[in-house]
Amino acid sequence: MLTFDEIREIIKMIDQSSIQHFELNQDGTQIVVGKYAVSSQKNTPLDSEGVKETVSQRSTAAIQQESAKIMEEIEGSHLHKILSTTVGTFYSAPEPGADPFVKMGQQVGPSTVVCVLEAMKLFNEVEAGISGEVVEILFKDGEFVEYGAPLFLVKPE
Amino acid sequence: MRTSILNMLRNYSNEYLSGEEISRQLAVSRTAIWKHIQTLKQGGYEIEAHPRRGYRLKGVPDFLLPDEIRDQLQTKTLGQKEIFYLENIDSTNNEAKKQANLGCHEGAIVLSEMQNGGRGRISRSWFSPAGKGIWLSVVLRPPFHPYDAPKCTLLAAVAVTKAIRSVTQVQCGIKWPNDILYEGKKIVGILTEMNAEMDAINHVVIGMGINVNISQEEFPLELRQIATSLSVAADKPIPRLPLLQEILSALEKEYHKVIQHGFVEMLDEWRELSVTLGQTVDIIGASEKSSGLAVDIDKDGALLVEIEGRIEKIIAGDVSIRPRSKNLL
Repeated sequence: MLTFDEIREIIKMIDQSSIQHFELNQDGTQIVVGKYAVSSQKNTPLDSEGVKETVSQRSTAAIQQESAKIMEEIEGSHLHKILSTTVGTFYSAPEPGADPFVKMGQQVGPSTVVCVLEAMKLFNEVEAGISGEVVEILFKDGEFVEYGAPLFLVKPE
Repeated sequence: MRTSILNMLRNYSNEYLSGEEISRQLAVSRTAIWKHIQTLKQGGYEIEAHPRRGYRLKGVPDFLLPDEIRDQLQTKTLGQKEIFYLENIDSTNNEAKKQANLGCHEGAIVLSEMQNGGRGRISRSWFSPAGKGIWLSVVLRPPFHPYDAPKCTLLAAVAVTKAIRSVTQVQCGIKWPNDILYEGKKIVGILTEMNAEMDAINHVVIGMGINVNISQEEFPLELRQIATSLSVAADKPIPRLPLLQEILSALEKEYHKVIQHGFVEMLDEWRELSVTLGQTVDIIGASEKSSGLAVDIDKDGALLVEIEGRIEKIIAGDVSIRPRSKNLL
């Protein structure tokens, strides 16, 4: 029988590794550790052994906690919205097929160009206006944007 | 020093000015003046030297030199304070944006004899050979709301069309929003870039490529059927300098009119100069294609197209005029 500290150590090691799924059968004790989305956890058959259940519940709780935090960040006023200064077409890259101006998770500065908006051949290079991390890109390449629409969410530094 | 000598010669147009007189007025030796005259001649100025009578200015080169532009320029601000003149650059718009960010004045202009990275709409290049066109960018700092900024592209097209018609007699017209065509072929392309806050414009850079003295054979093969130049349309070489001066003057007039009285009159002028209205057009958007009859533009400058009985408002995308019969274009 594994001790609680040993189980904790295993979880910690798996958590820091690239392993997605781990199973261990030893002396009638089964441990299953997986890094899945919340919904897939429900389908995992539960054993009579409580260990597995505990592990599942722990990771489910952790995921729920994490997603709650993200939701709070998106809805929270502390996220900076980069707004559209004209109506027009949203371009995420300087030209078709090129790398986008910014990607999710990228650090930006106040004068970093985040996208280009076009209306009647007027091209508007939108700058971030703030230092921080891009956490949400709200439009896709070629989509139509209204004046004042939020284009990006930035977590300020 | 060379500018002073030139200005003196200009004031004596068609008459001789003695080396001694120049030397006295500018307080430099006659040898020094002779050297400056040689440099000017190398720069393309035609200066006649007569052993006893002195120097006479016979002709100025068709370079777009700042001093030549300012001479006879009928504007208050455009091209008056700052002219950035370059022999070669990637794109005059890039340079103008740089100068605008460094804080140049409204009305500053950037000119290059050629561009090696002239840009059209996203990812398209603009053929800009040396000395054969006007590759120009103008920096404006409009007092109006960013929402109104897209109309600057129509404003530029109106001003340039009027200037071309008055200087060259070439009856070109505007394809929505701001290409200038002659017999269905492109003569001028305009690309405008803006830097703005939510409620104020920092700067607008209006860039234009004007095909002036490019023969049809000089265009790259892929452009030969869709582009042309003023010299081809007029069937004679067109001096660039007076055309540039008239463009700057017309642009300033339209701009001041819009600031003082709003966009209504300019939009009416656009309607009169348009070759798009009344035509069947194909619209290629980011994701869909459609076609219909171009009926009008609205107060924002958007194109109104009748598609299957409904009026659609077109703000962006490529609009091409479907050729029907040649005399309609």
